[in-house]
Amino acid sequence: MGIEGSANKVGVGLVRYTPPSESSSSSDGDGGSGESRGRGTYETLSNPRKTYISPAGQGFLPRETAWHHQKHVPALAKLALEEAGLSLGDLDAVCFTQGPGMGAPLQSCAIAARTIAQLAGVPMVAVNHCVGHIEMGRAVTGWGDPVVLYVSGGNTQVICYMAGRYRIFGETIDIAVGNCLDRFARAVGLPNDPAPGYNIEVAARKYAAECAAAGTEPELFPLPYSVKGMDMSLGGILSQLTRDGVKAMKDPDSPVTVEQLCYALQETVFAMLIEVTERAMAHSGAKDILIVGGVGCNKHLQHMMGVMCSERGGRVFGMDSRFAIDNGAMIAQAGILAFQHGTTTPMEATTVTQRFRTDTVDAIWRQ
Amino acid sequence: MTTPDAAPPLPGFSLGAQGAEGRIWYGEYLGRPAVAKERFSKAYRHRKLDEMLTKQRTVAEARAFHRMGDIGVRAPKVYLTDVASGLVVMERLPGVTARQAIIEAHAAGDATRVEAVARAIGDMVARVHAAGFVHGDLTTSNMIVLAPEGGGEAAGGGSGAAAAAAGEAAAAAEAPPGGSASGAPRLALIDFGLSQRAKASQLLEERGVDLYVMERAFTSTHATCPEAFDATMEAYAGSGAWSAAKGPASAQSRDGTLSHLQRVRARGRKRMAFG
Ligand SMILES: Nc1ncnc2c1ncn2[C@@H]1O[C@H](COP(=O)(O)OP(=O)(O)OP(=O)(O)O)[C@@H](O)[C@H]1O
Ligand SMILES: [Mg+2]
Repeated sequence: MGIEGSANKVGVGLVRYTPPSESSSSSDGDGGSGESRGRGTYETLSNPRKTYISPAGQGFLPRETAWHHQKHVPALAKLALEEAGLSLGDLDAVCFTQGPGMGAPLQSCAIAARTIAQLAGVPMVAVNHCVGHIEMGRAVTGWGDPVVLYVSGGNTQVICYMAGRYRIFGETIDIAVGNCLDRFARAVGLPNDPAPGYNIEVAARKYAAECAAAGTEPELFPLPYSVKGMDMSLGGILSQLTRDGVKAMKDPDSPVTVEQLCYALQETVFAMLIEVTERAMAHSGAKDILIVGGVGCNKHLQHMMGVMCSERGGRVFGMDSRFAIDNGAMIAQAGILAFQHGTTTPMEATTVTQRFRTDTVDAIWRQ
Repeated sequence: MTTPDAAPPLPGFSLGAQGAEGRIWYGEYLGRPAVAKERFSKAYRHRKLDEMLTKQRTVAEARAFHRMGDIGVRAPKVYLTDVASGLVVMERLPGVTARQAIIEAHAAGDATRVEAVARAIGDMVARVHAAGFVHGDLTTSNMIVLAPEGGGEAAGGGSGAAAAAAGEAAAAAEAPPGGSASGAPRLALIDFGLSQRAKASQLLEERGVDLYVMERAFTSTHATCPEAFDATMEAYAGSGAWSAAKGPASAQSRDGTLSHLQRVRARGRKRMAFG
């Protein structure tokens, strides 16, 4: 069982490993994570989750988010077992997100995980949230060694596996891409429901479609493009948008609309993300790209990445929302790999940590 | 762009490498060994953005030779530039990348050589910074350890792995026994597309970020020999480039830069990584 709750989503997922001899026809149906690499199959049996949507114009705060998770996690755990047709006695380990993330929500889920582990009488496995995204991505695609672009509310990293660890080749030097999108959306009054980034995507698509219909090239509101080696800076874009962009949008004499700003934001930020990903590909020699994290759901980002990738003869997998977005099964997936390689976390070490860098985890299952 | 039959930008040039930004071609220009760097347009990005970036970077690359020449940092001589097509033809520097030099010396257990190369990097970067420039992509692949005078293969060479292997062999053959007999290694800097003259108000911040990028390149590429980056930073701080009484080339400016590096690092650590 995996329990996730590091940000505004709380989820419980069950993953089962079937050794090679028993793995008959792959069960690729709803949960859809049939990974078979000649060494058995990992299968997501259930993966329910709940999202805390903060009031309009506001981000989610630790306390309210923790309350939300506390309220839902017992029912989610029950539901996960029910959907899989299993009971507590069938569990072998309970995996939980140790970090990174918001303290109080992480804490709430860790307590739930301890309780369930004790009830079931099984060991616990602490999991790094980012590694959870990566391992779920690898399990779904079956790709051995992809470049991972991890883009979410708190993270913007390009990751490659090297010498025993997931190394961060490039990252933002200031704010994360999801944070940049969310704060812009709030500044221009786009709703938080279902997600601020989604509403930006829709607005940008609308503008692009209008231009296409009119046979004109879309305007590109000028924003600072800032790539430094494999790192990038997004703070300048956000301040330019919230200052000059909003001013131009409100100016009745200016043709700039909110849709145009959304369009320029996506074009500029995504071009930066793809440029650093391409650099990491050139450096590492890897051909395949996995996009994980909430922003990875963005269809336009996936499209742009696809164009770059096909030019390099590679493949890209923008994960669908079941796996790109935080969920319990991804924690179970990373946890089960560690567990199978002999890792368990003693109860007294099942504390959580807000900062937990991807490259500090020993990926023993890959060595 | 991966098509092997992509036409060379100049007759007789052969494809060396497909980098992130463009293609690297090797050939001869007016009888001299040359590298042609071709930044082609990227279909994934908006036409205007693409044109602007290609132009900016080509111009920055072409300017670097003179800028670096003025401050005594070796950079490839530029033979030909075509901004519209993103082409720069330049001198092919003889030697191997610092990345290769460090990896090989480290593998051979030659700590003296690793340190010598690392120190040369630190001093070179200090000179670039003291002159008010930032490079923008300080990886060890963008530095060439020049072959000793009077011989040595050009870095890179014909094509792909074979050329790299030839380069390695040449380097191994040239390397003095013990690594330091013939004195300090001489370095050159390449790949100036992201370089710029830093705005005075942003100087310390830009340098801090430049060093941070370099640190991260060292820790990801040379993860197994952390002493290389330490030696680089020691030489950076101790460089003779910081000898002015005041201004960007002063010890004070250097100290400001180093404390900005701490700040940029702290930003990285502080960033909450969730979501
Ligand atoms: N003038 C030169 N002399 C010798 N070798 C060179 C020269 N220019 C480039 N090279 C070789 O080609 C490689 C790629 O060149 P460069 O870094 O300029 O291109 P790039 O496309 O920007 O690469 P990347 O984006 O991966 O840094 C260098 O690492 C070096 O090995
Ligand atoms: Mg380079």
